[in-house]
Amino acid sequence: MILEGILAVLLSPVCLLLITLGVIVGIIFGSIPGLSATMAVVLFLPMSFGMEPINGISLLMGLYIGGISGGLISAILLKIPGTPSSIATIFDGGPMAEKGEAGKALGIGILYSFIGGIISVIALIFISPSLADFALKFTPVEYFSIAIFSLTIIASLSGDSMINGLLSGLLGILIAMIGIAPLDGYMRFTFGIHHLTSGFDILTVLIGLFAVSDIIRFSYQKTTGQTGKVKEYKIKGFGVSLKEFKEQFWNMIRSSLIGLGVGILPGVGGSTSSILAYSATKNASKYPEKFGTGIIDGVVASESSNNATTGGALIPLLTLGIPGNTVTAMLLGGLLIHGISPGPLIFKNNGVVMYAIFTALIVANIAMLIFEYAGLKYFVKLMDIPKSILFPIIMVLCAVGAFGGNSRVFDVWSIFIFGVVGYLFIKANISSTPFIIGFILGPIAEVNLRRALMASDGSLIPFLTRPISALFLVAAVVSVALVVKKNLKKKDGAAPDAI
Amino acid sequence: MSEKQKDILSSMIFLIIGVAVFAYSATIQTVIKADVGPAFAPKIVTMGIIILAVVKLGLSIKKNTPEYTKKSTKNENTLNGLLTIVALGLYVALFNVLGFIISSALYLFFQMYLLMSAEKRNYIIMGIISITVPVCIYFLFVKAFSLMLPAGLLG
Repeated sequence: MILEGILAVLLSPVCLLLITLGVIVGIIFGSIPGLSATMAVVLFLPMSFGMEPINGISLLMGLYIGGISGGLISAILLKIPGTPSSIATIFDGGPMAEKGEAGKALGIGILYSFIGGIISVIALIFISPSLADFALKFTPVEYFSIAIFSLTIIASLSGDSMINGLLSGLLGILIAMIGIAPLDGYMRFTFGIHHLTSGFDILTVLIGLFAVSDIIRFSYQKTTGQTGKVKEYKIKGFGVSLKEFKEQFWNMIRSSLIGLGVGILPGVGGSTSSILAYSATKNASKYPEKFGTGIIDGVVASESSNNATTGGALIPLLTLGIPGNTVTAMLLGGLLIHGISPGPLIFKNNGVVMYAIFTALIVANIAMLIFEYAGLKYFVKLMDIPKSILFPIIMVLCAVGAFGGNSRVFDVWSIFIFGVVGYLFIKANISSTPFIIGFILGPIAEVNLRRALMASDGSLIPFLTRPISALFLVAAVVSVALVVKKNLKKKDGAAPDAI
Repeated sequence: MSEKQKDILSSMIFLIIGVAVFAYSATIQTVIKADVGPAFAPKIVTMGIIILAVVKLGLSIKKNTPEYTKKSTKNENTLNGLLTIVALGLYVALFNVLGFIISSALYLFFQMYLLMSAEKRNYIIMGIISITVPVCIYFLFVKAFSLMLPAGLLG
């Protein structure tokens, strides 16, 4: 099974080619500010429909890895994060470019992206089988509590306002309830519209909220999105000497572990991990005052952590079926389309695909290292393509993606509706991420809650007496309490921003 | 609109959604006897929405810092934005009627027209993109990825 999975990728030229294509397109999407890894996966999902499962999923993995790493190019050369994950790369990458060390910063960014990515894949390979084994013991009680924990942590970490995050998450759960109810098959909130019988397709919700809404937002802007001048750079090697590599070793390990841990936690994502790793490195440093002036420590911390998040986020996705962020939510859609249902049984039911995914991730990281380095010149040029041309084409591809799944115009209407909703969310300072996670986890929480209550004759006691369930529920309460406390503290201070 | 007005408006919308769906959930019947029923989860969720919306409304009414009540001066191109939403709606409405290629070509041209500044508009390039992109996508997806796309008038 292990060998079969590995060889399915390595011996297939088509598969290797698709991973490379995925990585290159991913880097392009990652490097252009305003386009994201999520968008790249959204647009390529429909293409993967017609492919062999392993080929299709490998393509998506390539897009994911390339998309997260590509953000460093614009972070360093434009001081704009190409993807939210590369925010912390600007702190020192930007100043390095200003000092004329753009090439060094890019080389280091690419190298440590690779290292962080590989460390996380190794962790994924070793952690996921045991987590899957452990999760086999889970009953509906545990699944419900994990879903609730994931929902609260997402809401509490989304942007500045916890109330907005929770509202967004609850609305997502509510929208997911449209259609046939679990267990009894009761039609809920369909209002006689037969297209609503199976509810909104997750793909259309994602395309609407994360691609169409961006197009609408862009059209409201007065400036046509001119991104500023790209800094000059000269790249030679990976810009790091053996001495520097040794000095950065612990930084690299610490940042990768932070990225990995953050990735495993649902809903936190790459942007948080890079900032966390950056501040952890700064705090541990002997020269914290130099951070922000253009030292390599900052770039190493940010890039190794955000790429380490990629493998981390796949752990709960593959073994529990719980996506931690928007890209993995898309990947969940991609897996389901190919008949692979993530969960504790995945090694048993789809073992070959699992090892193929692991192999694809390693290949994707290697491809990222090679192509991001070798093709840097071209990626930088592509950053100049005007958005006024890119966005309309992306919209057409979004329509294809929405229509392609079920061949119904209803799904194209859905992306339009969710696009407008997403834009209104942006205007109201409400994050869409909790909405998506609520949309995915809501049904999991409901079906498991109802199953558990049926088994216990309506008693809530098992949720508190079963240790794992109790642990997650306590963690959920603590995470909310911490944010409330933080917000109250802020309120006492100068900037009251609790709502 | 100031941040305060935005927060008040959004909490009112959430409140209305919460109350309406809660009321509607009351009409849902339980099918399985031992089960809490299909109305249970919607009721809990909408109750959560109602409570949070009321809290948010209260907090936004109470809060009166200058920056919170200041009208935003962000200059937006409202007409362009609204026209984009209309264009998107029309695109979807005509997607099946005109077919993928024609509806996409029309949409692409109009959307590029909206997004490009007047001095940068190059009608020849816009025309070429508007025609070649949908044609390429159509053949790529239909032939290479065996996906169905509406042929419409050209079918």
